[in-house]
Amino acid sequence: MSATRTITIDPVTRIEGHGKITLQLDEKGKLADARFHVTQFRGFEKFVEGRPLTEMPSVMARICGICPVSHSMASAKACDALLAVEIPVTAVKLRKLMHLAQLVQSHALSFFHLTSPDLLLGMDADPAIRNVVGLAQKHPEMLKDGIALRRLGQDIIALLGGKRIHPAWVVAGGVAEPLDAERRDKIAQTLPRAMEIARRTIDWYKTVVAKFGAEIESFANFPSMHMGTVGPGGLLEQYHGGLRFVDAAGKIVTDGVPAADYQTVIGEAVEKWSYMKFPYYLPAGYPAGFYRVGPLARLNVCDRCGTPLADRELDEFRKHAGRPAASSFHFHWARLIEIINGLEVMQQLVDSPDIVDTFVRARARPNRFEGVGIVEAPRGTLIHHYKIDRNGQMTWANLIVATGHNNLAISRGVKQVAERFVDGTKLREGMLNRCEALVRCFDPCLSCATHALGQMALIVELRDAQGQVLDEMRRG
Amino acid sequence: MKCDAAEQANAGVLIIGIGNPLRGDDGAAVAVVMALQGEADLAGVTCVLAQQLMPEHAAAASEATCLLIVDASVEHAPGEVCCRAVRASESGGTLFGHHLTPEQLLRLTEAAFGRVPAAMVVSVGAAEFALGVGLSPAVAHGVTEAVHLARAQLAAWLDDGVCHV
Repeated sequence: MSATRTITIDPVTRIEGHGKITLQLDEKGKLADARFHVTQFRGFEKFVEGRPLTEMPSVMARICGICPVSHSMASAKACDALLAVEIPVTAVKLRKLMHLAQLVQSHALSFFHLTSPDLLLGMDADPAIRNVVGLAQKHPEMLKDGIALRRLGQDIIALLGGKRIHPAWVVAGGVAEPLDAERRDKIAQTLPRAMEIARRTIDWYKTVVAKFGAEIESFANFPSMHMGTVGPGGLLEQYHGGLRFVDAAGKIVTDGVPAADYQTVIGEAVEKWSYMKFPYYLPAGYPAGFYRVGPLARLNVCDRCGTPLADRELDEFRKHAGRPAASSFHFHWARLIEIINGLEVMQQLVDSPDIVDTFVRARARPNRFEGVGIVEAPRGTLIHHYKIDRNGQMTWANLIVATGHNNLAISRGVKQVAERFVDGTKLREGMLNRCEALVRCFDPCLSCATHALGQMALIVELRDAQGQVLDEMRRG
Repeated sequence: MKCDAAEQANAGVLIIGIGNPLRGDDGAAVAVVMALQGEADLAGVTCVLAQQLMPEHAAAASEATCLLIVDASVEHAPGEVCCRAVRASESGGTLFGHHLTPEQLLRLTEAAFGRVPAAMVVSVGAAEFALGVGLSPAVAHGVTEAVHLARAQLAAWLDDGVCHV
């Protein structure tokens, strides 16, 4: 009789969407394999067929309530390519401003609301208190900072686009409305406080990160490639850069790939056990060509951030974590650096005189049958690839989202964490939370990666090969 | 003048409507709040529409003296309207992500900001949540009743002096 067993963590909590982890144990109770499953299904690529391209920035934004701005940006850029227009300079700046506001609020959500309970209350703490409410009770100032930073980002999005979620302001050819001086001044007024919070938080984080040595060592801490977009001079660039890949040693292996050529470097594989696709670096093949994206990868691929405060933090980060930083635990630190950089760039943008220019949209009819738009969403590289017919109606779409890129790295990371912390003979909260905490480092958005609604209680089962439940834990 | 007086009286009132109008009956609370927003005697009331309660709402709740949360509910028959008082929960309960129950929101507000408003939840029973706009007939009727109930609750708070800041 086989004694092979499977531990299932379903759903993984404090992430965006619903996933499941299975840990396959051998007869000795040691880990044999680990998989991160995505159990939701998305149909966006299919149901946009037949719709006019001009609807895409608004329709695609509905994929996600967390990063709708990123989807509308990538979509609008794909539409710019279909129109074959160069959008006005001010429209680029305004899009960047909203894009960075989205990045700040999304990173704040990940760090303060989803991750800081682990950092401040402990990986082994009772899950009933290891959440934002527990955080409010023990560390109210931290929670208030998180709320304030997220609100500032959301308010800027609302000031630009009219509402916080799903603004219909980013359009093919630019943006729908210019920014007036009054709203520009309101945005400018919010930035100093946001920077104050960001600097206070990163200073605090640097005092506690050393306590998580075991997690740094085992949270997807392995050699891999990293991918992200960079701007001229290799600077960190989340809105409009060329694709760059670095290898596990940090050496640039591919650089400056324009959006339209992404398929020359990225392939997509599928597996039967997940609705998510498995992108890989095409020249290396699948699965050898797995790579990571997101804030950590962006800091690993860029030469510099290009702003003074963020560059100072980047130097310190690289001194501590190495270059490239291999441990995915450092996604958290990278997010804080990106918040600082984002706020610095936003300040530059609102200070530029032409930010209130009224020429913000290029109008044209469709001039190409195929277009690709790429931005760096908070969680990583986001690709929208569209094809249209002569009437400008969608005939085909393909989306590759950040969580998809990280799919293989997450699964391998889960295995590494489980090898370190999971005892196959008895389930304990702390060891299972570390598996989830590893997933949270990547801040995956499964709603983006697939798209679905609903919520399940957490059930963790330890089963033998015959399906008999040997141990069980429940939440909710 | 009447509007100014209303604004002053209602300054401490926060209404949060929870739901997604692209999900059929889930838009019931949005319809209630939109109806309330148009009322002249409710000038000064702060109305917020959200798809779920989030920690950010704690900041707004801490600044209010009265909080009315309106939501669609699967626990009631379609169109049935209920109103209940809500207090900060004793325990945190299970929190999977960053969205909260009304009780958890109040607990978070109390813990982080040191104060909570008087709070009520108006629920509208709902059943159809498929993709699409528009309410089912029973729920549309319930929305009208919920608007009356919400207005009555706001009037009661004003009469009791609870809303004055």
